[in-house]
Amino acid sequence: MSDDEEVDAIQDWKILTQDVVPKRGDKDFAPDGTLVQSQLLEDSRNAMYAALAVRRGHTIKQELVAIWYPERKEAYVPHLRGPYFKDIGRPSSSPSNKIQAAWLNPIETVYLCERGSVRIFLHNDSYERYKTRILQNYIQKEKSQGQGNNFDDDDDEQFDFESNLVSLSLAHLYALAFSHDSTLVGKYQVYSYLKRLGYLVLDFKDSTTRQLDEYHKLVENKANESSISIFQALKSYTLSLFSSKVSNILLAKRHYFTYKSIFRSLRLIPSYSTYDSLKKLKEPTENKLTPCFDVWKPTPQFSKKNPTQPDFQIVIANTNQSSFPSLSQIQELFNSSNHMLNSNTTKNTPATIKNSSSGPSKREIRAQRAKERYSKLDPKIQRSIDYNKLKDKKFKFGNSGRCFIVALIDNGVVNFVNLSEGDFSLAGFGTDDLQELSSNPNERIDHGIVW
Amino acid sequence: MEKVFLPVVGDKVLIFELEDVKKLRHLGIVGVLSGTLSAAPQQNVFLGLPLQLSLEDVIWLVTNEHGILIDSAKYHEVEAAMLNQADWNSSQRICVHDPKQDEELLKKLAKMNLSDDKLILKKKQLQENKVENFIIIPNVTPLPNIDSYTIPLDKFLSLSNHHELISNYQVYRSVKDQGFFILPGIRFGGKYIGYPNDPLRYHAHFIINQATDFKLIDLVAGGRLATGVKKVWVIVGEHSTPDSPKKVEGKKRDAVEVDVDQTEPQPDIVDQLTKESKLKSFSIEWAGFG
Repeated sequence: MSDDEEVDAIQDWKILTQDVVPKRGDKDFAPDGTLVQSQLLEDSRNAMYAALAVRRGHTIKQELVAIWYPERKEAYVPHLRGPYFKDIGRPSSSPSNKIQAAWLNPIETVYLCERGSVRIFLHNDSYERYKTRILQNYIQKEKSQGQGNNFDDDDDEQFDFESNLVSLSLAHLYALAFSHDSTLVGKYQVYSYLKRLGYLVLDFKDSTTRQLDEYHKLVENKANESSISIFQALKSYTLSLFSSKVSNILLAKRHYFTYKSIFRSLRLIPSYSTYDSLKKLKEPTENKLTPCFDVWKPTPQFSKKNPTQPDFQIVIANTNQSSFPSLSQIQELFNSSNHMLNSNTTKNTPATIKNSSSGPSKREIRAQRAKERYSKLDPKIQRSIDYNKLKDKKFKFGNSGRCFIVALIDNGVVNFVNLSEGDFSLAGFGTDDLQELSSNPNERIDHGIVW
Repeated sequence: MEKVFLPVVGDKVLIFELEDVKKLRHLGIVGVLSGTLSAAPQQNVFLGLPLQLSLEDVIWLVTNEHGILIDSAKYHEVEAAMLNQADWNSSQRICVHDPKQDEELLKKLAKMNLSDDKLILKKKQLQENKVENFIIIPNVTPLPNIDSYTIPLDKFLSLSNHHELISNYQVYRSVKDQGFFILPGIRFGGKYIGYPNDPLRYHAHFIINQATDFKLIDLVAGGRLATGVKKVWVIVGEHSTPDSPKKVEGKKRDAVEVDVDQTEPQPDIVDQLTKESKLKSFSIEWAGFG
């Protein structure tokens, strides 16, 4: 299917059922027993059945085949073509330079097969013999021709898939691909949901070690800058804790001259910076939550070999089997995320998907007005507005901006939830931007106290 | 009506036969379509086969003798190995003539400013030749002997660990047996969603939860949420006298305890699922004044 057709796919669907497709919200409250209503239901059902009955497949021009290897639980695509392999597949050596081949994992294989883009055959010995024959031919040719690379691939014998291999139905492929691991169907449902929307999806890459390295470097730098060791810093911190909390409250010895100092001494519940969980990195917890996918918004310059930092990272949870994760599970999750400690551009808010509706929405108009009002204000006030905005954002989404998208699955229904870490102490790294905006940038103040 | 075959893939039941989807619909089982529609592969509003059934749907179908569980992996492995490849592939019409492709070709030609005569000629050619231009990927492989790969319900249930399976199922059954259609509850933050009839045509009426360990704050939360989305919040729980012994849960959450269970005589899980239970339900609506 060409790109243009794919964009129009949703329109196509109405033509294809040639009937009224049940639209969302176009429902009745309850059955009233009338014939009209039962006819409407029958029509809706038939429209749905008709859509489900549309055959799965592709035109002969777009023919694409893959061979499923039951032992490897992977599919081999001997000849890559079509627009699907930007993020799908791992390249495999191919006897010819002209033709690219790749291995697909079970999820990728089912995705491509289910959308009708690739036909899958079951691997057997005859195919293996063919493959070795091709390889030998190629080596021979190369020997006989020396450096001359001008031989034709066309005289390679073509393998007749249909008379040598069993072709797989979708149900057969599901059984082969997903039976050995019961988590795969859920993962696949999330994967295909994202892929259908056009996102680029790769397997999750754990970044715990990188984050840890960066963290240690940062700690070192900080220590050098202020020329006190971490040990000293810690010691003074604990001392101050002691003096302020215990003695102040119990013995009420100190005098207070500002509200801030009172509030500071009232701070009994320990709070910590979000990065502190990196400090005491432990052995993996039991029932470790393992993220599944790195996800990118569609971009033309995507390379699966050297991908950029992913836009989203997805962890999958089943509502019927898992409860809310524990703190250590969540910390572990954040520590493994792709977050860069050094970068100044933290993606604090979850990116929103823009509706392609025409004209500015009410929200956009309001934002525009607020912007105009803001520009007329005194720079000092602007600054304090900015400061408070940034602080609120950091309370809410965390100082670090580390976040995960949790895909919740309940018997096949997928919901997405954004999980990010809040930070109430605002004392760790990454508060420099806040410091710069504060009323007195040179004096280190406690951003965690708000009154 | 003939029993529906319920193929088990991993620990889930996925239906690939359209006829089975229709049969299930008549039984009031809707399920969740989760596959990509080949004709519209870039959207998530309308999805296609396979249809995933919830665990409760499966239990209800099997215990009411409407369905039989099939080991899909074994069935395909054994039966496909016995296939004669050449016969099989030639019996399958993989390449077919798709008139839609011709139409599209004609549309393209029409844009190229060809003379009408040539277009008509081309159209005639296409209609006469009926070239095989479309490759079909079938949903199912029609293999024989499917009924010799059945799995008993208790074995299927042991494939996955679900919280409070028995009490949840009893809630499900009590609602289902009153003629409601049930879908998974995650859309509205409950355990189940109850529809007066087919969700294709009717709005949901209920958000259903099991009534265990309720605090007053939960009443507010559940009631407000449901009323906010124009539903009624229904809580269902077992009607027990104060001195009746606490119900034994058949399924334990972790593997260690399951091992212990095997040494003791445990009531059969299927018996527990099908046994009569006295349930009481309450519907709750938020009644904030203004």
